[in-house]
Amino acid sequence: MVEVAYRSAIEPAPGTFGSASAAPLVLTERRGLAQVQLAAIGRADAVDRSVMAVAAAFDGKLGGALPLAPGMVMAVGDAVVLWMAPDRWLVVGPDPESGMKMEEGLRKAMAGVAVAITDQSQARAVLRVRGAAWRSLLSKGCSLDLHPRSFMPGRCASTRLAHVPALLHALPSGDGVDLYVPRSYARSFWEWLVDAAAEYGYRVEP
Amino acid sequence: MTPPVDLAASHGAGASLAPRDAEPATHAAAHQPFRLARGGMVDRSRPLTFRFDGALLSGLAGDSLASALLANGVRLVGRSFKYHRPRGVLTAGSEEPNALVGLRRGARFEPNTRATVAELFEGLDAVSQHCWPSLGFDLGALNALLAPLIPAGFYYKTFMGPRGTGTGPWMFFERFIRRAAGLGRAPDAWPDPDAYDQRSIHVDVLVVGAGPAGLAAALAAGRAGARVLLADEQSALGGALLRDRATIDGRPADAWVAAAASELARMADVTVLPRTTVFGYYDHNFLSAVERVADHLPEPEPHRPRQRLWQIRAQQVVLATGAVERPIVFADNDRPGVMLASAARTYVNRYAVAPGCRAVVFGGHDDEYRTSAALAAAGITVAAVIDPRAAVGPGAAHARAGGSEILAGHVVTRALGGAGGVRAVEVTARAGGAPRRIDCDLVCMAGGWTPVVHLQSQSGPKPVWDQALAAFVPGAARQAERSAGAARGQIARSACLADGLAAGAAAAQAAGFGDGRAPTAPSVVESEDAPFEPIWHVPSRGGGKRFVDFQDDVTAEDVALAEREGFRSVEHLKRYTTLGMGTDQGKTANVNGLAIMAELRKLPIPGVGTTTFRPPYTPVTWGALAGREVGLHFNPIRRTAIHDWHVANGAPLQTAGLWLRPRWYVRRRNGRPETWQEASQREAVQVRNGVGICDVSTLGKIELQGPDVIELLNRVYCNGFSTLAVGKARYGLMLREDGLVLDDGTVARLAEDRIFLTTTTANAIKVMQHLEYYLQVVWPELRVQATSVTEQWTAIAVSGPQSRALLARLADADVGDASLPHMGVIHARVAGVPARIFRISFTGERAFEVNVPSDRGLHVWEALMAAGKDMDIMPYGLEAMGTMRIEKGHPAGAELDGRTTPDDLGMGRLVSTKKEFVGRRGLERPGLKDPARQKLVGLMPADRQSRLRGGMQVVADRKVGPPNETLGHTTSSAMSPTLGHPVALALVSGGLARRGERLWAVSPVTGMEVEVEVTAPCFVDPEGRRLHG
Repeated sequence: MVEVAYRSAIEPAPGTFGSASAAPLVLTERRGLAQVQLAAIGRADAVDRSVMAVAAAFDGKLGGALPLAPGMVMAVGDAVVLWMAPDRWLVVGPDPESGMKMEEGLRKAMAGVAVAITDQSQARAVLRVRGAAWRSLLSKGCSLDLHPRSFMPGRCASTRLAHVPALLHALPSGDGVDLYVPRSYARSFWEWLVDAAAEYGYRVEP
Repeated sequence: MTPPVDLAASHGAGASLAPRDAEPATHAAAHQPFRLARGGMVDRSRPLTFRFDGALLSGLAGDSLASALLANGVRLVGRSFKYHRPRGVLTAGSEEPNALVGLRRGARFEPNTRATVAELFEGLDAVSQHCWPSLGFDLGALNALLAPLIPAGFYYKTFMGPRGTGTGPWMFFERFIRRAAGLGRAPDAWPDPDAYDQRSIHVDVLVVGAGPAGLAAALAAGRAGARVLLADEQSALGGALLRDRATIDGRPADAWVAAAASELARMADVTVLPRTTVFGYYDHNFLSAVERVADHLPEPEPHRPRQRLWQIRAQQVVLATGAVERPIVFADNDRPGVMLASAARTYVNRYAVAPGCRAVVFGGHDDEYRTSAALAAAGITVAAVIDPRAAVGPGAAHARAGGSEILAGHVVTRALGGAGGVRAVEVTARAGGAPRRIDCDLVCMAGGWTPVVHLQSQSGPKPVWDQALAAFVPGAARQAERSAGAARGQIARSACLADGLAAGAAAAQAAGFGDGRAPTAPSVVESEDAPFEPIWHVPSRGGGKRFVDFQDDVTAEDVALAEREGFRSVEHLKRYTTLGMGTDQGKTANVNGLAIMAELRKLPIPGVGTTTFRPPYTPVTWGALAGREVGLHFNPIRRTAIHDWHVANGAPLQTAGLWLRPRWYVRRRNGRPETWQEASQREAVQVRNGVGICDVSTLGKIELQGPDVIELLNRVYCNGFSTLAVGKARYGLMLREDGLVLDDGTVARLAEDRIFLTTTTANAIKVMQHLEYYLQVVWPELRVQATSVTEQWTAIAVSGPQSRALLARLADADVGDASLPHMGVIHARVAGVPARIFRISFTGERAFEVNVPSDRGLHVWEALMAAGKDMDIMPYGLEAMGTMRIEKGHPAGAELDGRTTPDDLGMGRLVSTKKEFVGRRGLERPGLKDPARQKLVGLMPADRQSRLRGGMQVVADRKVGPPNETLGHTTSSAMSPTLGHPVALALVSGGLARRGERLWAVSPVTGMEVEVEVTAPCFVDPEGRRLHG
C-alpha cells in the first residue's frame, strides 16, 4: 500500500520577502501538532461544578493544572493547555500520529470523567510569527489591545484576525506569537498575512 | 527691512496664466517671483518642479501646493461650484473651501484635494477643477450672469414642476446641470495601484492636534506614564506655532517644538503620527484617523501603503484641534487675493512667500495688527489697516509706526478687481459718507476665531455659544474627553500651553497615571488684546456678491431669501441654501451664516440653533476605508483540503458562502474543451451507472457529546431520535420556532453519548449558533457539549452502483450490505487512514460519505481516483450533484428558503406527533395548514424538450392579464440525464393535488413560456431501490 501522505494547510515556500530589513519578521507554519479539545460536560447553569471536576481529574491523572482564568495558558510536560472558554481548553503538543495518540491518551486518562474530548488537530493551522513588529503586524487585522501591558507574554486570546476566527498565543519569551486559524481559511489568511508583513520585511522558514 | 525679491517687477503676474510649457525647467525653477529672500521653513537647497494645468512651475521642499502656486504668482486656482467665479487661496489649512485641485494622473488621480494641505513633491501634476474649457476662460462663468435667476432653492422651485407638468422641467435641464455641477471628476483609469493599510491601536490618552496645546498635553500625559497617541493633520508638528514668530521660554517657538518632539520620541509608549487626521469620533471613545503615509511622495515606497486607517480606542481623549479664522462677509470678498489674515501670516512666516505686494488688513480682532506687523516685517507694504472698532487699542501703534494708515471705525465695503484677483478695496466709514478706494493686491480678513469643535460635537454634545469670544465652544462632555487650547476658546499662546498641560495631566490621571498635577507652563510674553468686535457682514452699497459659504456659493442674500421664505431654523437654512454642505463642512462659513440669520430674526446667535457635525472632519478616500479588503480579499476565502486538485483538474470554482467549490471538471472532447452542460451530464451519467466522487467537506459537521444528546436531538429536530441505535444514521429536519424549515442533514450516533451531525454548507454556522443558544439559554439543564468539527474532517462522497466495490478495495473493514447497510456507520481505515464511513446518499445511488482527518484528505481522494481507474471513476462537481438531487426531488437551498414547512416540502409525515420540539407550536398556525399553500412538486415540459429555469412563475394560463395570478414558482431546474429532458422542482399552490395538470411556467423577464405538466418531485427511482442492497 502507498505510504500515507500528510499535508499541512499552507506549506509556504521559504525565502526572504518584502522590505529590506536587518531584523525581518520570521514566519513559520508549525506542523505535526496535536490539538485536542476538552470540554466539561454539565448543566450550563452550573459550569463551575463540572469545570472543577474536570480540573481535579486532569491534575490527578496528568499532573498538571488546567488554566481556569480567561487567557491563561499552562504547560503540562511538552504540551500546553490554552484556555478557550469557561468550560473549554485546547491541549496542544507534538504528536507523531497527528493527534490520534494524544486523543487516545487523554481518553484513557480521563475515563469516567464528564468531559467531551474532541480531536481538532486538523481543524486549525498554526503559524508562528517572531520579530519585533509582530504586534504591529497583528494590529492590522485585530482590534484587541496587543500591548504587553494588556496581552502579556504567555497569554492566549480568541478573537478575529483579518475577519478570520483566530486563537492567539503570545510566546512566553515575548518576541512572537502563535496564531491558530481554521484550516479552510489558512491559505487566504496567509495571503493576507504576508501582504501585511511586507512593509516590515519577512522571512519564511520551514 | 529687506524688500522681497523681484516683487515690483512681477506685480500682477497672477493675472497672467499664459501656458509656460515652452519655458525650460531650469528657468521655471529659478523663477519664483513671490518667494521671500529669507526665512520660512522651506528648504532652499531642494528646488522642486511641478505642473499646474500643464504649466511647468517650481517650488521648494516644504512648500504646500498653495504656497508654491503663490510663490509663482498664481493666484487664480479654481472656479466656484455654482457661479464659476474665479477663486484663489483663502486659507492655509484643511478648512480651505476654494483651492480644490486634482492631483496626479491616471489610476492615481485624486480629485478635490485642497491645495493648502497638499505637500509639494518633485513632478507633482495638479489640475484645476470646475472649469470648462479652461481655468482662464470658463464658459460656466456665464452662470454668474444668470445669477439673479438662480438663487437659493432654485432647484427645488424650478424642478418641482407646477401641477400637471410633473418633472418635465427637470428632465430637460438635468443634462446641462450634470455637466456643470459636481466637484472634480473620478479617476479615468483603474484599479488604484496603491495599497491601503489599516491598524487598530489602544491608548490611555489620545491627543488630537499637535499645536501648542496638543504638544503640551502629550508631554504631560507621557510624563505621567500613560500610553499616548498624538496625531496631527500637518506634516510638521507645531500647529499655530508654525505661522507666527513667537518666543517660548526665551527661545524661538520652533526650538520649543523640536525639544517637545524629541522628548516625546524618547518615551517608549508615546506614538506621534504627523500627516494624520482624526476624522471621526464615535461611541465608547472609538475614533478613526487616516494617516497619509505617502501622499507627499510621487508614489509610495516599495511595500509601503499610500494611506493607513487607524482605529483608535482611547481611555481618554484630549481635543487640541485649534481654531480656524473666519472670513468677513463683504461684497466680492471671494476675489483671488482676499484671504484670511492667519493664512497670510502662514504664507509669509512658514513658507517665505509673499501672498501680495500691497496689503489691506481688515477686521475687528487684534490679529489684524499682528498680521500687518508680520507682512511689514517681510517687506510687504501694508497700505491700510481697516478697523471697524471706534477705539483703536495699543496693538495699532506698531502698524502706525510702520507707516500704515489706520482707519478706525471703517469697513471694507467691496473688493474691486477682475479674474486675476483683487486690485483695490472700497472702504467706507461706518458712520456714513463717501467710499474711498485703496489700491492693493492682498486683503487680509481677521474676522475672529472659530474653535474647531467638530470632533467634540461628533462625540455627542452640542456646542455652546460664548458671548465674549463670539464663537461656539465645546459643550459638556458626554464621553471621556476634554478640549484644550484654542479648541475651547483659549486663543492666546500662553493660555494654550497651560491649558494643554493641565488637560494632558488630567487625562492621564483619569486613565490611571500620575497625580493630575500639570507641569509648570513655559513662559510666553504676550500683549493683551483690545476687546474683539465681531463684524459678521458689511452691508452692500449695491453691486457685488457677499459670500458666506465660498465652496457652495452661498451669499448673505441667499440667507436673507431663506429667512423670507420661512427656512429659518438652522437645519432648514442649511438644506435650502446648501450652506455648510460642501466637502469643507462650512468650516469658514457656518458661524457667519448663523449670525446673519440671527440678525434677520432679531435673535441671539444661539437662538437660531447649531448644526450637527458628522464624520469625516475632512474628506477620506475610499481606499483608506477599504484597506486590504479589496478584490480577492474582499472576504476571506475557505478552501477544502482537496482544493488544489480540483483546480489542477480543470474545475471552475463557485463560491458557496466563503467556500470555493468545484462546479464541474472540464475534459477535452473532440479536440475542444467540454461545455459545462457536457461536463456535468457526463459526470452525472457516470455516477448513475458506475462510480464518482465528490468533495463534500464544506458541509457543516457538529459533534454532540454528553448523556443528554438524544434528548437534545428530540427537541431540536422535528422528527424522532429516541430509537436511533449506535452505528446508525438518520435524516434530520430542523425547524425554527415559527415552524418553518431551518436546515436538514444527517445525524449519526457514534456512541451512546456521542452524535455526529451534518448541516448544509450554507447553514453550518447558523445551526451551530442555534444549538448553542438552546443549550446555553433555553435548556441549561441538558448536559451536552456541541463542537464544530467541520474543519477537522475532509468528507468525500463515493456514489454510484460501483461505490461499494471501489470502497472495498481501500477499506480494511467489511463494507458489505450486512455490516454497512443504508444509513449505517462504521469506523475503518481507508487507504491507510482512519475514517468514519457513513452510508448515506444525496444522489439517490448507493453511496458512502468517507470522513478522514483533513491533513490526509487529499491522500484518500487520490487513492480513490487511482483505485477506481478501471471503473472509469470521475470526480463530480456541484452541477452534477445538483442535477442528481433535482432528479431525486431532494430539497436544497432554493427550496429551504425560510418560507417552507416540512409539509410544503413533502415531508409532513416526518413530523413527530409524540414529542415537543422547536417549531411544533409554530406549525399549528392556520396559515401553515392552508391546503392552498405552495408545496413542492415536479414539473416536466409538456413537449419534453423545452428548457426550464429556476425562478419562473407558474401560472394557469399564459394569456391572462396582467395581472396574472401566480400559482408559485420554479425553484430548481436541470437537464435530467436519466429522463433525457429538462425537469424542474417548483413550489405550487395546492402541491401534489395538481398532479397531472397542465400549467405554464413563464418568465416575463426573459420572455420564456413553457407549458408544463405537474408530477411528483422525485423523477428517478421513487421507491429508493438503488439505495439499498
